[in-house]
Amino acid sequence: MKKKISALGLALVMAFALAACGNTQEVSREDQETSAPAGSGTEGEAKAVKDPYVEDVKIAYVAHDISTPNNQAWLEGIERECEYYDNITVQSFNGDSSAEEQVKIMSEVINQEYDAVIIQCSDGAALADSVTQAEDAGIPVVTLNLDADCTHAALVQALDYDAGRLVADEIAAATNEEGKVVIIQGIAGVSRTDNLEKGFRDTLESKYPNMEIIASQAADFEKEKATNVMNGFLSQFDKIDGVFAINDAMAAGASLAAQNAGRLGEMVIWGADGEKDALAMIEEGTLTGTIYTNSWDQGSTAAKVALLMVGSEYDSHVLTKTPSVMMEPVVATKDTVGTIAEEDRW
Amino acid sequence: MNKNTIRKLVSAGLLLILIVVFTVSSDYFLTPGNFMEILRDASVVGIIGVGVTMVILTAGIDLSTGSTMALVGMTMANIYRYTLFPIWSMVLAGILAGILAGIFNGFIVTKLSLPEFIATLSTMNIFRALTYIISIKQNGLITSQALKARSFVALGKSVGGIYYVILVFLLLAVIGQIILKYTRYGTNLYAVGSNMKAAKLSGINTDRTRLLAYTITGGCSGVAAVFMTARLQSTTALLGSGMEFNVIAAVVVGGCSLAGGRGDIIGTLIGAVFMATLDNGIYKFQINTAYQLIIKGIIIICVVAFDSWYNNFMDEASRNKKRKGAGA
Repeated sequence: MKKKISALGLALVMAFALAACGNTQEVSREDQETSAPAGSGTEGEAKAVKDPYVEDVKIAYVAHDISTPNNQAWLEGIERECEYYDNITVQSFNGDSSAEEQVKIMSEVINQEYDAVIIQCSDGAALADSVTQAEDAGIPVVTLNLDADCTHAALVQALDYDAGRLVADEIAAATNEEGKVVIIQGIAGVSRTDNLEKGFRDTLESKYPNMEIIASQAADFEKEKATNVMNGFLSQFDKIDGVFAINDAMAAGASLAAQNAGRLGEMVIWGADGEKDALAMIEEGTLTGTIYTNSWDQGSTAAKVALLMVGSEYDSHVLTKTPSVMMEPVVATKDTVGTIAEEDRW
Repeated sequence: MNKNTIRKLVSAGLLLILIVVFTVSSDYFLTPGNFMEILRDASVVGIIGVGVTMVILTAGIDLSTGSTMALVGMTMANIYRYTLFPIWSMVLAGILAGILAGIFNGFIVTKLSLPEFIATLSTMNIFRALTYIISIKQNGLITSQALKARSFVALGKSVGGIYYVILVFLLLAVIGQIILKYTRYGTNLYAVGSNMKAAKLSGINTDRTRLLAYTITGGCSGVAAVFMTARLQSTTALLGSGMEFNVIAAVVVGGCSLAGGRGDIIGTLIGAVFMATLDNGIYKFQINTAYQLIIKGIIIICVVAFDSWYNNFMDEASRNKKRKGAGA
């Protein structure tokens, strides 16, 4: 019997392999690479133009992870923008930090004939097909920070690569351009955070040859994990001049660890995003700085763009690249944090 | 009609109720497109579920399936990027990676006698870490890798309106059910799960039975990863995060007992479709995400609570019957 089962299994695997290979013989990798993504090139039906401020309009907001302050702030911004108009409904979906989940949600949103989608793509390559499908179905897609690898209505973006550059400049200035720096990373593979880190590393490498990155370690965006990582760094290195945590929660964790070790005074600690708690920490002096973006404004900008598209005769096929709106970054330090108004803190 | 058939009919009935509720509450639910979407979502979970059902039947558990998917995806991505091997061999190598991961799981569970939960929790992290190590990196940073070969992407598409992944799921489910019900191996799985000691004493090679169950699960995770990445047309190091819990939930909702020895693939099929329907239908209520999750949680609790009550009830009934029989 055992033999029979293993034979059966083997046969299955082979059958599957055969099915998979289908008609792929003799195709060079270049041909495969350049094969057109499905869906593109097919003309969508003539788009029905709605008056977004009168007719019923449904906007879907597909979050990367709805539980983070940034995603909440965007949602809040979108809702504020649409609040006044009774005809507009905003529905949020939680991508649960997973591209698979977001792809599922996109199918859902297309199926339910939403009028526009605002999405933060967990993985630009994975979402490309879904975003193209939505655009083909006449649903404009506006991406937030995390772009999709295909042409779509608009990208509303807080600076990431440049934010990393700004932090590098600040840390270099604070350490006379010859400090030892550690990086606390987010989850690998998330493009915004990768870009932040890349901007930071590139700048240090090219502009500040005497600065040294002595260690980097992931703490998955979490405060608690960042505390542990930072504790490790503190016991490992006698001299740390600068810390760059890829988001504010981890910067807060790093600060906590440095405070407990009594070494907060000897280093500068930078985060990124600019959430409310981080700004408060900068004010009380436990955090050196962060790159603040007004996420409410960003959400509401995305909503404005989406509504504009709904009301226009826009068709994604006329675009060859995604137009983008850049949000202004604010370098928040003890000196500048006061300029960020209370009502702009998220 | 035996009690398992009745139980399955009840499960199917609950599924039907769910469908009716969603149909009434949304115009977008009962459409052919949406129906296919539900089955498509259920299929990836279900394919892994075929293997996990066997593992759970032996009173084991496999928490590493999501990480295995990521490992499989990244194995394929490496072959795709760095070699000119044909696509079918890439797919085969991916599934093979899954099978190897399964064998590894089986090995540490049986030969090192580790508790399944801890063993697979560890391999969950190990496989994810291996994925990071073999990840495609640009400028030292991990990026997602597009897998856009036409013949590969085609696996994520449909034939006659039915997605390939659904067909493969049904095929695997049928094979799985046949193995469970009509082969010696299937009987051994139930025996090991019901009473490991008794199974061993009656001459069943319990280690081999369990090892094979983990191996099958690894292979199933591999197949699921192939279809998932074909649909996504890319893979990342994060592929399949949290998938293990969706699969276990589907298997348990389908009537498998975590204590082992009870359940089958038909149940898992119903469970997978039930969970996908729930996910899909909930999205159509225009409510806050948090409440969506609460409703989902409550429905799952109700279903599993019913299952547990029903089993106790039937056990009681059969005991009474026996007692009466003995008394007569």
